[in-house]
This record gives sequence, structure tokens and C-alpha cells, in this order.
Amino acid sequence: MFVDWQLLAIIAYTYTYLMSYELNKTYNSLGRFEKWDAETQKAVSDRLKDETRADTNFIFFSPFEGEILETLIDILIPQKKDDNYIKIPAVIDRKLANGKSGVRYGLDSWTQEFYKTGLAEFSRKAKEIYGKPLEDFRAEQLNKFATKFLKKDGSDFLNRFMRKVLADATVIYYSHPLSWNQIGFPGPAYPEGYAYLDCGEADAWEPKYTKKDEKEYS
Amino acid sequence: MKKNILKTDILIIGLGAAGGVLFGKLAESGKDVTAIEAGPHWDTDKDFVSDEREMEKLKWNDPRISEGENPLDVGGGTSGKGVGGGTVHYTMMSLRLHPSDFHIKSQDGVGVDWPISYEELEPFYTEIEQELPVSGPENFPWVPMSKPYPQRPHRQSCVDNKFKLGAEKLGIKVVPCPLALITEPVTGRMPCINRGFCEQGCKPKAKSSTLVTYIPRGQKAGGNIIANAMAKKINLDPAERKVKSVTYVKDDEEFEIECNTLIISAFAVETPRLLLNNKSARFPNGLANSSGAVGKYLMCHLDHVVYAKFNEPLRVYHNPPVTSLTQDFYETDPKNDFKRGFSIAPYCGRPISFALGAQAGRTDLWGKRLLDFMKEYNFWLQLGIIGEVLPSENNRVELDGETDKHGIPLTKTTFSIGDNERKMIDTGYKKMEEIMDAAGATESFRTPLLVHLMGTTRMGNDPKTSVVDQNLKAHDLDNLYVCGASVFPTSGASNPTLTIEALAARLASHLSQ
Repeated sequence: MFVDWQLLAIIAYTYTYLMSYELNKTYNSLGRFEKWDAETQKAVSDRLKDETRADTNFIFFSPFEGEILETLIDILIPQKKDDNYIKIPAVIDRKLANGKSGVRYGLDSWTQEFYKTGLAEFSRKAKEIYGKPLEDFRAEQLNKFATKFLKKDGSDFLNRFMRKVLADATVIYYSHPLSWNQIGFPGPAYPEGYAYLDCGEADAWEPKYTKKDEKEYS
Repeated sequence: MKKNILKTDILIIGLGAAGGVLFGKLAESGKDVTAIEAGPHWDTDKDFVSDEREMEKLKWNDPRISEGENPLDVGGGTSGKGVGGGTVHYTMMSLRLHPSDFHIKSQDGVGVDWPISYEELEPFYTEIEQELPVSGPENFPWVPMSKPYPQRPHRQSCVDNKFKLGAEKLGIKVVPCPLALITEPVTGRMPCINRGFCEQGCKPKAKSSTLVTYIPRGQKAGGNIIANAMAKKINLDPAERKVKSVTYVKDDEEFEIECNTLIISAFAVETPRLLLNNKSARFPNGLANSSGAVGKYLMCHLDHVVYAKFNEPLRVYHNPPVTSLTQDFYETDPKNDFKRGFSIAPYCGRPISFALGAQAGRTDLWGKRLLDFMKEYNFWLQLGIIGEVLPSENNRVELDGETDKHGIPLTKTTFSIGDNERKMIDTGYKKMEEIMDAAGATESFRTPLLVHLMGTTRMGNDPKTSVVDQNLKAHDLDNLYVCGASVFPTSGASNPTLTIEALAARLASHLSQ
């Protein structure tokens, strides 16, 4: 039987294309800031002030540890280094400076020590494998090195450490309005709430998705 | 300096689901009640913020140690610290256990039987449902109920409709989930406005947490609350038959409060911690622990999730976390290679919990791939089970050599899932994938999660194998009661809070007689 693969491919592509939606690129969750309750406004604006444009001066980590952590986090959650850069390492640093808290898992040490040991081991291992200190690495080498320890079957110390840093960094990154804009999350909705719940329904101020062949889909 | 010793008739330690109901009901019955709570007394207006990260403060974040093959997150979402406890941030699912849950040993040859039956607890389930009140479907097909839910169910969302579509194609029954959430006004409280931050503390007071229901009732009736107070020592009378008083720490100072009756409702970790840390001549292994069962038979629920992607935006942020479910797979099915079963419900997470859940199942979600995956946040539905975990003596809470800032030993929790659970997880995943396929999902992946804590001071008729009797009184002491998830002999496959509250209502009724 004759199969026109090219035609099939075009049909498949068209189908996928038609079925996909795109989030409005100019969506800004802070556009509704004035509508939020005062307590939430304060929490989010403090976060923007303290965690973006602020200087990174480490309290818990040494400057060198802070540098390694920033390198690692830039791999785990890549960001543009502009005015909106979310200083994830500084936020982790301040939390750790507040003392022991949370759950200590298995044979790992408490979070403070776990971070210190993890950063030292990350640096040591990099030097062992590549024969040069971490600060001399090119971005792609670092990426390759970090990837080694984030692989599926990894459960050794460095892998556990990287997963912990990833989880902590994820919490901080997705607590910022900048990330909400990327994913179509309006953030706080109080006292307004959401009037619509069913498929295809949304308020006019919610993030808009455009079906790729259509003008707009609410 | 010697401080004045406070006095109360009934003292409650821990003001969450169990303690809150006990506090409200006992105070209203005219008893002199005082409650001490380790965390703050929340103000829903001033303290609650529509934000995931900010509201981490609702959880128990003090140091705890977790070990075993499947170490549990023993703080975080399974716990609460502050007046209202975990009811301030739970998903509000208000499910009864099934009649079979009370005798799984007799029926299925696994676990243990409860010392009470469903019929004995039924009036108290009804009482709690009416008083919170619970909103739910006209007909809940899986358990017998003497009264319907007092409020109409929460409106169904896009996510519920996708789940229902898939399930019904396969002949699976789906109903709106009974929730401790008001859908119609109640004096002083606004109905749900779909704000979505239910697990971050409900600002409009639509959520029927004990913070806004039973606890204010208890205060109005004269009950006294001491917040930010950590119970440290339980003092006995000279014969060591009765509790005389409790020593607690507040603002780094120690205080003593005398009581005629003590109820510990400090959940599945702090309750055994307090008992194990109070040793005496008669109780060398910890208070009320002649059985050696204190801290043992810790259980959780399987909360394994299938993330399923759809072709259109679902806008998962619109919803309370869970608004529909099925319990068609709850009972033991001879066709399965395991005993007992699970509930299935779609879950809507805010971005942080959504990302962390996905990362628990996929190791590739970092770097650009994480950012790309998160751009599809509104297109993914999370379908999860609540699966029964059988009690095992090896799963336990113990004291560690390390102490906290008050000098109280930290807890070390050990947990590993067993063979029955492994088989159940496999079947649960497959069932959820079938439903999502039928609903039109285009891709999916699995995430292993565990949730809730139960056991550690279980109830039973035999003082050699259980800690409290069927009235929740410690076998070993005349005036010590324990109430909460820690007294569950088995876990069932329903979220535990409604059962905790029904047990508390039953105990309050017993103590008021």
C-alpha cells in the first residue's frame, strides 16, 4: 500500500499545531496587585524588594560557597541576569542562618551542614574529574558535570544534595510573580475569587490562551 | 521563682482537629476546659496570605528525623502547628471510613479490628457533618448515612468534568467530594469564592477548620486557650495512677497546670513523643506504655499520583484542591493480589506543590525542561489515590538522642511500605492511567507520594497490645485520654480528619455524661 509519509507528517503537524494553545506573552500577574488584600500585597512586595534587586551578601555561606551555590542554581533554574533576577541563593542563605528546622532524612545531616558538605563535595568532585577548580569551568562543562548527578538512577550523596537544592530553588522561584507570568498563574485572588470553573471559562482578567489558529481563547 | 500553679478541670494538649472539637463541645457542656497549643492563635484576616511560600508557617517545621526505606515527610503537609492544627491547611475532604474498615482482621485477615463499630461512630460522623457543616452530594453511594449532608456540594470544575468523563466511560461512579467547606452562608462566615489557596489558610472562613468552628464556640462558652505553649512534662500523683499536672514552656519559662482529666490530642508524632519522654518508676518505657505499643504501628496513606496532560487549559488554580472522587475501589476485591483498597480523586495544586510533586516523579525536571514543563501548568491534571497502609510494628516513632531548644528529645520516625501496599500502588497507577486515557489525556507520568499520619497510640480492647481503650482512656492510667489520628488501629482509605473529629465528638459526649 502506498503511504504518503510527507502528507501524513503534514496532517500530524497541523493537528498538533491546531490543538496547541499559547499563553499571552504580555500577561502580568501584578496587573491585579491593587485588587489583592493588604496582607498579601505586603508579602509579595516585600519579596520583590528583598529577593530581586537586592545585593547578595551571604550570612550563612562563605563568599566562595555562595558563588558555587549560585553557579549550581543557575543551572537548575536558568534566569536572565537582569533587574528581575531572583536571588535564590541569598534566600536559601537567610533561611539557613535562622537555625535548625524541618525534617532530617535518613543518614543525611541537618540542612545547614548538608548544604556545606554538599557544596564542598560538588567543588571537590569537579576538580577531581576535570583537573581544574570550579571557577575555571565553562558553562557547558558545568552543565555536563551537574547533569551527571541529576541522572535518573542516581541516589548517591551528590545526587541527593542536588535534588535538595533543586527543590529549595523551585519553591523560591515559583513564589515570584515573574514565574507566575510564565506559567499562566494569576497568583492571589482575594477578595475577588474566581467566578468561573468549567472548561473554557475564565474571567476577563485571567491569563489568556490563544489557540494557534484562532485569535483568542479565554 | 515559684510561679502560681494554674488549675483546670479538663486539660487538652494540642488544639487541632481532635482538640478543637473536644474544646468546643466540653466547654459548651459546662466543663472548665483549658487547652495548650504549641503554635500561635491565628487570625484569619491578619495572618493568612494568598501565597504558598508565606503560609509554610502553618505547618510543623520544628526539627524531626525521618528514616526507613520510605522516609515520611513527618512535618510539612501532614502536620499543623497553631490553633486549628492541620485543619487550617488540609484539603477539607470529609470522608467517613467504611463499615468494613472497623473489622478488616475478621473480614480480610489483615491488620486488626477496631474496638468499636461503624454503627457506634455513625451518630458522631453525622453530628460533625451537620455542625461544621459539610457540603456534599445528595447521595454518597459508598457508606450508609443516617442524614444527608447539610449543604449542597461545591460546584464542579473543568478538572472534575475531565475526571468524570474518563471514569464514567469505564463504568466508574464519581460524585462531588464531601468537603468541610461552606457553599452557602453561615453566620459570620462567607461561602467559598474559589480563591484556591485552601491549603494556605482560608481567609474568607469558608473552610470549616476547627479554628473558625468549634474553637470559637469553646471560647464563647468560657474555655481558655494558652497558645505558643509546648507541653514538656506530665506529672503523676504519688501512686502513679493518675495525672496530676502538666508542665509546659511558654516564652522560655516553665509553667505548671493542674487538671482532673488530661486529654492528649497532639497528633501521631508529638503524642507518642510526650508519652515516651515521661518515664517514671511505674512506667520505665514511657507513660501509658506497659504494652510497649506507644510509638508503634505508625501508618500513612499511599498518595500516588498520575500527572495527565490535556489539550486545552484546565486552569487548575480555579479550584479548591479536591472537589470530586470515587470510592469504587475501596473494598477488598478478590480479583486483586492485595487486600483492601483506595479512593481516587483529582487534585489541583498551586504552582509550588505542582512542581515539587512532578519533580518527585521525574528526574529530568530541572533547567530549561523544568521551565518548559511549568509553562504547561494549566494543562496538567493530577489524579491521586488515597490507599490503605496496613499497620506494622516496625513502622514507628521513637525518641532520638538529640534534643530541641526546650531539652525535649527529637523524634525519629521509621517507615517502610510493605508488599500489600506495593501491589496496591501498581493497580492504583494503572487504574488512574486508564481513566485519564479515557478522558482524552495525551501523555502522563507517575509520582510516588505518601500522606497523612496515623497510629502510634492505637485503641484496642487488649491492654497488652494497645494504648487506649474503646473510650480512648489509657489502659494504664485513670484520667488520661488520647484522641486523634494516633488512636487509629488501621488507616482505611479515606482522609482521616472527619474520623478524628467524630472520635473527638464521641469522647466529648462520654466525658460530659
